[in-house]
Amino acid sequence: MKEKNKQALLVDFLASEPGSTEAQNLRKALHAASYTDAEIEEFRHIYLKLDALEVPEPGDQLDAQFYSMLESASTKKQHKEVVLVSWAKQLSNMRWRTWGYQIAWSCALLLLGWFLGSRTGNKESLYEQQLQHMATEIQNVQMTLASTLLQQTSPAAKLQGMEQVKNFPSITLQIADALLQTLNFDPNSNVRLVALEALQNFTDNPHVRIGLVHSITNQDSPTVLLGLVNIMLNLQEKNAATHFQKLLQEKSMDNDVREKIEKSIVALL
Amino acid sequence: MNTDNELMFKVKNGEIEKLGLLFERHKRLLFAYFYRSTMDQQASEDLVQIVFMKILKYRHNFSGTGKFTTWMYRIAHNASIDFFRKNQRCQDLETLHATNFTEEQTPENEMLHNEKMQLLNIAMTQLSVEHRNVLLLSKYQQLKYKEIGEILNCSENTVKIKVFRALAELKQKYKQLDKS
Repeated sequence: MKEKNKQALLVDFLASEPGSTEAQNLRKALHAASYTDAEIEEFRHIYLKLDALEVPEPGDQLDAQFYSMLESASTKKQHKEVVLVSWAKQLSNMRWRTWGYQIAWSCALLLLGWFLGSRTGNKESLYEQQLQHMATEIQNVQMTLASTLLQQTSPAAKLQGMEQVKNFPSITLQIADALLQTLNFDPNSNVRLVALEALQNFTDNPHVRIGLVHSITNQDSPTVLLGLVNIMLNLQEKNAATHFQKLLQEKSMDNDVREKIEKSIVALL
Repeated sequence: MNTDNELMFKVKNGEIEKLGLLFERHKRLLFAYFYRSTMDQQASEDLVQIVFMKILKYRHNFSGTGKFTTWMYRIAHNASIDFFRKNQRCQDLETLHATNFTEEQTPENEMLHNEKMQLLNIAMTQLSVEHRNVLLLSKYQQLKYKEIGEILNCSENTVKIKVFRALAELKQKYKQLDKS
């Protein structure tokens, strides 16, 4: 047996459970590899002695330093996000609103991503990782920007935010709440209708579905109501029937809308 | 309960406060790893802090293909090498005795035990950084040889050979100190 294999065998023996079958077999193998019991015991002695080395507990200072570092990092991150949002806002306040500029800006971002990715070398995994990281970062910025726009009082800003939301694969709880708030309480029925259109892309989210059902009794606009009826029928949301019944009892409305709602109640039940 | 890897992915995706949970899970073992290597409480606490600062700084490099602890100990191993390189640290035998040895109030057998432990501590600090680190990783950090191989960038069998050589060196240093 080679010397290196013998050494590895001895280390296996030391790490094995004392008295176990494995330990006994390893000891036999060590004997076969010309180790004497005295040599084995000498190593075992020093190895077991290491167990008795004591270590004190880390001091409170360690916790204090770590959490202070974490807090500082967290503050820096929030500051960065705020800067990004204000930067994005400034851009949107300039003449970037036309489609031409928006497409050009998207292309520039894509090119920038491609350029940065290609500068990072030939390792495909690293490239993919950075690309994925960049996509996540961009999506985070877009989500933050959309969320900020939705909280504005200006209908134009809200509409811009909702148009952006329609392109997201999923939405955060904060965005869902902002959209539902708009759907329920915005004085402008066109804005409410766009909010409904944005929300219908995310009906697989239970929070959105429940929010839509509860918004039924808040509505008085025929177009929004008809939109809600169609969504509830598509989802086969049985809970919506009681809300529609309550609406019919409490509010007066156009006969065509009333008839459509009554039919939908029958279909849902 | 979230696994270490799940928590680290959350940190990577921006939930950096989740690093606190990873810190609570690993600070003691990490501190022990550095303490056994440096025999210095303050330096060990600083090194733990450095490791977590690096985890935060390089969070985007965590791929999750291996275990979080393997990645963490790779950072810790490098921090330890940097520390010894910068400090050219050499334990002062006299100081170690003076700071940790309470001769007057200890019964004889306990005193003898303490003395042996002190010698072992000193022998540990006299090992090369490479030998000391491989011994600490294999003995105390609940890592498998394969994981240590990933940390040290070598095969499982090479790790075992390094452990053997570290033990042989430790045995020899300990004997020399015991005789003197």
